[in-house]
Amino acid sequence: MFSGMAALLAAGVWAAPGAADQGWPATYSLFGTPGIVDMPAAVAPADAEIAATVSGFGKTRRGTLSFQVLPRLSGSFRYSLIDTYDRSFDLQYQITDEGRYMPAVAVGLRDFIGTGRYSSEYFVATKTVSPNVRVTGGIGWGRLGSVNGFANPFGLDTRPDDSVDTGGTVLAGQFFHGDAALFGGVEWRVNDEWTLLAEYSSDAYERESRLIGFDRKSPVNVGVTWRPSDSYQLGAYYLHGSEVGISASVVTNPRTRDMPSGLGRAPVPVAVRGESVVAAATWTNPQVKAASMDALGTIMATDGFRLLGAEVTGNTLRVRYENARFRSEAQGAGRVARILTQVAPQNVDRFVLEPTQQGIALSSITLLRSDMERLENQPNAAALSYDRARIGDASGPAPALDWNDPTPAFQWGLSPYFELTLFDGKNPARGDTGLEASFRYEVKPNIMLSGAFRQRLLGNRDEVGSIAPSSLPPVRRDSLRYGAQSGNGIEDLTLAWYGRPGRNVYSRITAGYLERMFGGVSAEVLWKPVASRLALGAEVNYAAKRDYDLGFGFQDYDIVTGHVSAYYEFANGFEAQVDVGRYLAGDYGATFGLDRTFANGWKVGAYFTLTDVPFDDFGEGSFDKGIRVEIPTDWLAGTPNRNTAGTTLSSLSRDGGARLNVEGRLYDVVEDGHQMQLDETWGRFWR
Amino acid sequence: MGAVLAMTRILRICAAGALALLTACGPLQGTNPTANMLRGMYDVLRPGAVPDAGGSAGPLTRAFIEAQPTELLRVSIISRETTGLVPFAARNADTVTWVTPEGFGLIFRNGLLAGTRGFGDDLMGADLGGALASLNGGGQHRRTLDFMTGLDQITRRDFSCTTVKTGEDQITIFERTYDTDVFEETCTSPSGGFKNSYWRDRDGVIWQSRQWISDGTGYLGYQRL
Repeated sequence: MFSGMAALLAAGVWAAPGAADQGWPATYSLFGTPGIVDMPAAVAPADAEIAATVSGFGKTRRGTLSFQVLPRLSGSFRYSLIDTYDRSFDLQYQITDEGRYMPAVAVGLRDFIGTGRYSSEYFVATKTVSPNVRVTGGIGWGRLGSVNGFANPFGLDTRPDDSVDTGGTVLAGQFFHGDAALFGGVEWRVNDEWTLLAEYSSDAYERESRLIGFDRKSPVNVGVTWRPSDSYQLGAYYLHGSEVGISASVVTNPRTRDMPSGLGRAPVPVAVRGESVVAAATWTNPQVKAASMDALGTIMATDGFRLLGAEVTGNTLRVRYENARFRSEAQGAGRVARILTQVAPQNVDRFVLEPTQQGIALSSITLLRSDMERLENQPNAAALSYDRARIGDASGPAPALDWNDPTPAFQWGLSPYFELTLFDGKNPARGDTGLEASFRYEVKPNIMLSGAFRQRLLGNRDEVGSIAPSSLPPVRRDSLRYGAQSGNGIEDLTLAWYGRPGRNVYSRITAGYLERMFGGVSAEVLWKPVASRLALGAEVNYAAKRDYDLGFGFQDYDIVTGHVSAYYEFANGFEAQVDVGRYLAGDYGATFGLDRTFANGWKVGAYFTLTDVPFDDFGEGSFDKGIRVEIPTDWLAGTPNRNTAGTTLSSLSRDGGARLNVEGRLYDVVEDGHQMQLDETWGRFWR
Repeated sequence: MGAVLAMTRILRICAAGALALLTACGPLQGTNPTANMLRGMYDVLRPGAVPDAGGSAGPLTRAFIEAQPTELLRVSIISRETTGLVPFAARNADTVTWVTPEGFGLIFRNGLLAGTRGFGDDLMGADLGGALASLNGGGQHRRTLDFMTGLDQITRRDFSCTTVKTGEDQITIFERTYDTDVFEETCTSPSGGFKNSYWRDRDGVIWQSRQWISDGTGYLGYQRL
């Protein structure tokens, strides 16, 4: 009975050959950067590759996050235990790629910001001499010039100590200064998974020998790495004739995705007028209209959309909705438009879709019904439908909602939370886990009361050490004290009102307990035309410092703070933001941020804030700076979902350059529904 | 292969964020990132993407098939070793969409796969003019298939294909017998290729077939019931 099927299965898999050989990927060194064992190599990882590496030998521990910022530029952030905990940043730039005879050449700066414990600079060349042997040689300064060093080839004989007491500044004055030395090494790829490494290290480990009893007997390091897949690398090493080391790297690339189209359900198919007549001819009869609206709202809800209004004018059906499930508003629009072909009266030939978030319309997407009918299931349908879609502003009033929306006004939730504080001076990681009870009461779709209460179950975030003295008011320094004694409290409790005061303009007012440390009122306005790369915003807040017990009380500190902001989306996916204004401690200054954004929702970026607070008063790090990563949950899980998992690795929570943490700032709310993001993710329109 | 993928995924999830081992409840839990990540992990690791044929409805028989209100396809995702029944959902011009209650969708044009939805790495579209024509006796043609990239764009891949009639076969599908010509379509491209097989009767109906979906999903086998 099943013979036919069995024959099919028995036919065997005439598998497509694997992806073309991408060449020999970079080996991640003990520094978590492209290299050999401890020395760098001129090998650039694939564009956008991210590697997280932990390594250790002797008493040294290193954790490194490395990102291929541009095809030729690698950037890394490291948190190490040397004699003390220390942060460092590296950059490496690939000057030339490997040619037939010429090696690849790169220049690098290791630990170029901060206290400079790993501070060094180098030029390095790497050549693949046979398919499985790669040879590297280089010249280094700083720590990489400390074994058999020779006089500086540029005549920059003295290497000044360029770091300030509090660290955190660029050590440009010492770059390529002082003695230089040569280093080199070989990588031998035994097979696809195993690589043997040997190098001559020009780092004398003077600091470690002096302070933590590191026993350096030899400049030679050897190692072996095992890379069973593109996703991870494990390494074992014998170092300097005395120490054994290990490393583990997890490698990922935001540009690729195991399940590119995702696991979400198939969309509702298009109903073609004249072929499969389900919808009413017109909605002129109120009963027909009511029944149709009911069907529309119900089908949309099943697919993750909330109907906020629908209105027929002439031959146009305008529908306002909230997409609660799909990261891409383009995918949301494609799915809603397909539902409309099933339900819209037959006399409608044009759909105007108005996606909203927080109750405010983000854009209007005009689609012809005949295009939906004609292009469904056709090759190249996404590009053809994008060419035919019109995207504009949607600041007008909402279409009438003649439907009894069953979404309850009051919603609650109980869920676990996990909170991690990283790189606090004494303790590399503090964490809390517990339960969070939250609620949301919707007065109108754009006016909501919401709050969250947390009960800690486990964690060490309550171990409040001494709080460093400072001349600034303690606006962030004492953040660990919040909820430390009580172990529970109100995280936030706010009333938020979102609006569209006019064309291209968005507004927000939030009042209440805005965040864990401050309560008050926050007002924001954003100008962002739907197709513009530039957006401008302004925010003003009155904030009062909350009591440590996370109850309703306030302390005796309040301030008016605010910023004007400019946002710009570059064509290559980079997004810049500049905020100028007054910070929580009353200091004035500006924050500069640059993120590389990917159409699939990944963001990797860095920021820094300079204010009129002197570096000495700021404390360790001299000024606020950090790197941030945002990962869309649907990229991780495959199932459709609008959440992101994000983290910021920043300097310590200090008082200078501190901003209020208000939920739901306008740019993040609005951005996804605008032309750039719709364009970038339009490939999902028919998904 | 699947285990390695799942392993990779777990590593990535662990690398990417916080995991709590508690579950969540209440309507607002849908917006809780931790809860959603846990749910997503569960969905990925859950075995059996397509439900087994027949399932609780008992053994699959001609009588059962006849009793169904819609036409059915019996489908197998060969690399995932899953089989299932897929009911007819909609017709648009010369394309037919079939969707399972779980939300897996298949789109055919005259029996050739024109798209899939919900399989992780879907065939997003297909230019099949040459392939359809080649089933009338064989020949060379080009095929263009659309896939989603990791960056939410459609990438169009061109294949050079040859269709050959390899023989004739009498196949039986649940008590019904069909005399078919067997065609094999071999397609190549710089980034890989595939080989499809079709059992086609004298009226041009493809009763049984094995067709490539994508790199990530592999091959689809189907019978019309």
